[in-house]
Amino acid sequence: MKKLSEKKAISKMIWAAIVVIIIIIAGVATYWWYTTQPTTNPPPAKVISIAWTEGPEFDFINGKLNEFQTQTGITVNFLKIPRAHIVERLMLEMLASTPSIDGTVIYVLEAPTLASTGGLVDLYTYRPKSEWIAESFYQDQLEMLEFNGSLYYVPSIWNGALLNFYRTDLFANATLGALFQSQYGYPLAVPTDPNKLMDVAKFFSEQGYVGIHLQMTTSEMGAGAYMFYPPIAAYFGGGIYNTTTNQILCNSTGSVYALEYLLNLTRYAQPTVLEDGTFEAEQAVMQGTSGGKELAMADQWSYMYNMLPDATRPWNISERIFPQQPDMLGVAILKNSPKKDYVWQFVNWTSSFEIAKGTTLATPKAPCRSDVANDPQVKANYWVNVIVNSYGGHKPIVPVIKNPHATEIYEAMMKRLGQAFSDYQTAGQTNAHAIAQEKLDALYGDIKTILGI
Amino acid sequence: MKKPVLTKEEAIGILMITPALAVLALVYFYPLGYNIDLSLSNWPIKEALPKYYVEFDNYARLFFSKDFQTVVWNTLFFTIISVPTEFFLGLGLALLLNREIKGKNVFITLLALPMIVAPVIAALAWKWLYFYDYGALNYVLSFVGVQPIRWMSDVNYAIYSIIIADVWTTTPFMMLILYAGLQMVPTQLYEAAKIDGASQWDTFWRITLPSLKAVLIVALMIRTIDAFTKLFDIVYVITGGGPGYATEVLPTFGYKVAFVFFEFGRGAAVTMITLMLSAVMVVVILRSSRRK
Repeated sequence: MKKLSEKKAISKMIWAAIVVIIIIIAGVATYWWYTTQPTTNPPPAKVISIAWTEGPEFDFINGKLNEFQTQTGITVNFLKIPRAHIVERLMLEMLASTPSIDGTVIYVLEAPTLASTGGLVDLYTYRPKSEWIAESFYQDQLEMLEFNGSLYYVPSIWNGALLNFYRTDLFANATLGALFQSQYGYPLAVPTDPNKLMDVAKFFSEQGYVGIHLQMTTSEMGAGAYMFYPPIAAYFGGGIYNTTTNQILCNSTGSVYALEYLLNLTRYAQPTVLEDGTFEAEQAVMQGTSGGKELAMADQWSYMYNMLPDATRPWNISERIFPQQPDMLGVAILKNSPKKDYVWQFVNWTSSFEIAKGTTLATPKAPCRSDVANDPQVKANYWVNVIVNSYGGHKPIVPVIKNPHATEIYEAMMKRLGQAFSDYQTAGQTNAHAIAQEKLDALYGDIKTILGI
Repeated sequence: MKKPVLTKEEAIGILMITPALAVLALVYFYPLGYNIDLSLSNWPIKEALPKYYVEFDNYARLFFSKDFQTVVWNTLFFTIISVPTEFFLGLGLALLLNREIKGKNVFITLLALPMIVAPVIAALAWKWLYFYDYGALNYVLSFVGVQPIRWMSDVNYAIYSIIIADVWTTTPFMMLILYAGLQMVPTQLYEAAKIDGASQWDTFWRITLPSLKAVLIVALMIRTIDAFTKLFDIVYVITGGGPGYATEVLPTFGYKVAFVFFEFGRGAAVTMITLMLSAVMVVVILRSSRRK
């Protein structure tokens, strides 16, 4: 009798467990069904969420947001996401869309990958190319960001240029000038070509200075060696990979020479050349020293110009000798957003003359519109021509690789550059040519594997 | 009379663990199965194309890649150096704390601090210490005549920078778990050893260490699995895996492949290999612990 009641109790408990599990499964299934049903919502609220990232332009836009809200009645929520992670957040958003992001700031390096997913709105559907150009946007800058004839953002938020920062006191020093003249046979001046840059960097290095502060970190995309090597390779007739012709150029003669040149130039740079990025360069310029030595020159971003009055040494800027890669940031609209038209108004506002002028002046950057570049208030600044000439004026902007695998190709490039720099230092700064050739041959193999060719 | 399939205790036991098993199936077995499935496929989301199966291509591509071999070697090297170092330091500290010391709890709290600090914060702190120009480490070393070291960008030092930071962060874990183990050793054993005239070394070798065996194996297993699968924050913040592949380890490599390159199939294969390698390491530890 007792055993029978025990059996019944166990049986009841098992049934109870089964019922609980069924209820849980039913609950999960109902939730899943509910959340995946197409809904007939009322018109969306005039609130948009924009994924944003840190940078010198953030404060300016943030400070002006109330003007946009007054003009349009649209409230903007900024979702601050670190730049290093914004692309993975966006990719996940595109894989499983949520209503949490309507628009996003996009960086030029991520644009090829994001564009190829088909998850962004073509801005040409809102405004044709001819109208963007008629509105003063630079055609070559727009085309830099075109993917298969579509435009996903305009570089209105940020258009950073690398410049040559130099110490005015050292270049004006009569003793140093005379010594340089006697050694090199021409006057000491701010360098204007690669040979002169090497001479000047070497000269200062031999006089006990850091010849040039370089950012050669290979752990950061959008900074460091990533911004330096491809433009030098292009300058010397090489490159990494030509998207149009499907040619791998990374171990061409020009590319090998460029890396050899760069390896040699690092001999006259600061000891931490391989780990320094934008932040370290900023510290070095502000203090005027690096590795315990005085600095003579530095390759650094245009945003620092406004900070120079606070630097401990006298600095000025000159045109960058090499071209540079685009450093463009703008707002894109996510295709899944139900508030695309509101985001378009935000895009329109951020690319307007007033905002483009404001960010150009506040952050020193290259203007994205010719009317801003020609505005008397903007033009009155000494730095405008230096930046414009460095960034598309005298020196062309080197286009990015427009391929879905661009990020992987750049990462492979950074790895090989990191190895080349390390090998060069380990070898006592000799065999630059052999090291450059070996690493770029390896990169050639990497790119072939990445592209499956 | 026919014996019931399950006894009452067994049935209740099964009943009790059923909800936990259901949750486990949902959060562990399903993702694991999905990961295996993903590792055998290619999913070109960058081209907005659907997933298709490639059998073992992702594994083959990894096995024949010299860079991946370097990544595996780095992970093994890191584990082989850091786990024993943490173990010996942790054991030493635990033995010290096991004595009668005034203010013992204060010492324990202070020594456990690195474990309380979030790994990213600890990594950032170490990064600041490692800076060539204004890092405290080079500054301190300069007092004994050591030339400044490029801790993060010299290929010969970078991996050791990672190991030092990791040892600092995880030694307290070893210390606490071994200290807890020491607390459970019956004091009578020590008293008996003392009466028998055993030396301190004999006491440690014949009483302390054998009594700690179970705790020790668990601690080593946890740390080995951690070293293989969770070494992310420190590497990511301090060196980013560079210079070149000098400090790239399986977790950072897997992350990059999956979430920077969006090669989910290959990323899943990296995690499966990581899982298999850590399982092998755990089996080795368990097997060697069974030896008398």
